[in-house]
Amino acid sequence: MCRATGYLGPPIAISALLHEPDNGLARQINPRQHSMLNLAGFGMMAWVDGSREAHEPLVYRDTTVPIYDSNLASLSRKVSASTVLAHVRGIPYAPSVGYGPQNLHPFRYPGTQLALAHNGDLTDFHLMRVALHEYLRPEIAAQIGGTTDSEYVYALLLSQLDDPTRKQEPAQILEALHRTLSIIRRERAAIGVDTRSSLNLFICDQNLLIGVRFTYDYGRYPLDPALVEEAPLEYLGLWYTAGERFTEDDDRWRMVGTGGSCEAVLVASEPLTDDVTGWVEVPEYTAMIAQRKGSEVTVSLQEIDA
Amino acid sequence: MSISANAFFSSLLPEERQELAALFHPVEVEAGERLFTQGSVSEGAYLIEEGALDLELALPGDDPVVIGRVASGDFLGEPALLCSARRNLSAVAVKRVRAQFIDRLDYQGLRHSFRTVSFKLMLEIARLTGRRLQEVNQATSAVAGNRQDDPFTDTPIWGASHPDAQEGCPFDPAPYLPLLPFFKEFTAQDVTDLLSLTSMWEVPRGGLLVRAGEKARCCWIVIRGAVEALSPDTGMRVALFGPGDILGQFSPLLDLPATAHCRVREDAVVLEVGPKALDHLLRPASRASFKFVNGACLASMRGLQRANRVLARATKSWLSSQRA
Repeated sequence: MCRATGYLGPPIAISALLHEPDNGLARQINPRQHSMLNLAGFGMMAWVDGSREAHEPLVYRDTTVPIYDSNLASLSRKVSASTVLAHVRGIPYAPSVGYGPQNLHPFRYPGTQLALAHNGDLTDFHLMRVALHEYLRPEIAAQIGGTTDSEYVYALLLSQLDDPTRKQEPAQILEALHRTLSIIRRERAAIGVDTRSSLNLFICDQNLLIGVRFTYDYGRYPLDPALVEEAPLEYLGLWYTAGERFTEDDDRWRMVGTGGSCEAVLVASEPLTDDVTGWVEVPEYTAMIAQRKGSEVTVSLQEIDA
Repeated sequence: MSISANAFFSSLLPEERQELAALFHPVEVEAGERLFTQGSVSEGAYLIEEGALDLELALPGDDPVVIGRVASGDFLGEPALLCSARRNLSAVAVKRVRAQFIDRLDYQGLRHSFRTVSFKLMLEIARLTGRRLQEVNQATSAVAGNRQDDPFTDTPIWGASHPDAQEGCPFDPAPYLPLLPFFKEFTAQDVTDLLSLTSMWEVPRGGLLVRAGEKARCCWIVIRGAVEALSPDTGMRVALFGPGDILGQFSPLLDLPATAHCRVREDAVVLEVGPKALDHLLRPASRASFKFVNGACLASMRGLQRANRVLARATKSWLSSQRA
């Protein structure tokens, strides 16, 4: 099962999110909270203050398993970023599944502002793919380069925005998200899918990070005991922590600083540290919205009813 | 040793109290010290003999918020008796505290040998958790404010008297029950015993199982689908129950009105545990009873943890609005 992490805060070495904490994202090849091995590659977007064209992220994608990728390790130790969205991809053990760099997250089309990564799986997506094109702007559809449900969710989200090339406010993104989720629900009903599909999303731009915890038909496991044994019954998790900064303190990584000022937020499929004090789950059917203005980050939760 | 004098253990026979007392040992903390810290591994529970402690909960990015206080005679940290987890609160001594500590492994030894004393303790833990959950939900409503309308006033409760009710499961549940968390420790015979006492219903999205403010005579186990609990005051979702979760157990357990509406969120199949079944299961009559009460306790504790977080969040919002 894919894993992802988003960060918004003071510049931080990317290795502090990927390699250094005891459950950093690059270590989540064998995630603690799911059974599927994540061997289908790694993708990352990172906004680096003071870099050339700082409003555009550094993009890294490779099908190498990230813990073995020495280029990634070197790069992440040297580069500090103030916004990061990173993703390790898990896929079923089946030759029919598309494997390759074109299917790595996060997605961000040229000229647009938002990046997106997905943790979850839309049941029978291949049966609704063609129908979803009805809801896509042609210029967005033309940019779809891979075969994943995740990229289609991204394309749908962009297509629901008035102008995806412009910076969006959280309210606009959430409205577009709501329409996206409703479209997918409608198409699921049209093909008769009524079993659970998780759609945890990580959406960001340079100063905004949204973590969405959402599942269609939660609790409706497929009526095949073999499939139920493989898939967890819990609502797919999404965690966040917030404070002044994420740092190594007394040999362990944690978010420090509470109370008056919040300057850093992490949202992740599972906590990056063994010690989960200070991490809390985003409630089900809820979006966590972190927005940076100056050095301060405000965090809010909004329920999603779609 | 104060077990004999403590109301929490009043349902135990003298020899049962003696059996339990042998498992406790004393601990002390000074004012300002922590009895346990949020995030630390929980190993057991405490009976407070003297002193008082503030219960603090810290959410990401915030200072800890005091969400309650315990004092002499209170039993604290009881979730640790049932499962290994991390403390979801800190307990900070307001003044010098003298307490008795019982280790989870010792308690589990009693439970796994189906000792009646462990069953009675589990029931008391379930009742204590239920009372705490009610207090937390009331505190949240007081802080978060009230809604004007109740959307479920005229909604019929699902069950035998519901006009659209269809008893039975639309599929054979036998292969799935052992996979659900609630039935993890159940043998095939335990499942058979439980099913013989209960009914299954297919309930569509929006179906109401429990109405807040009314005394419920049954509780429910979700077999497939999901049920959400909604605060009658704020409309907020305060819990989400998926496959293998139990809900609605406090109202019949405590003989008090339900504190939340429970509505089907995703088309569901639910197991109704009615009054006759509860009468059997809430006595140490069978191994299925032990396992049923243990499952109900664990579910109750998860519910209380979540409610505490909701309260902390609501308190923080209220404090912010007062400062603004």
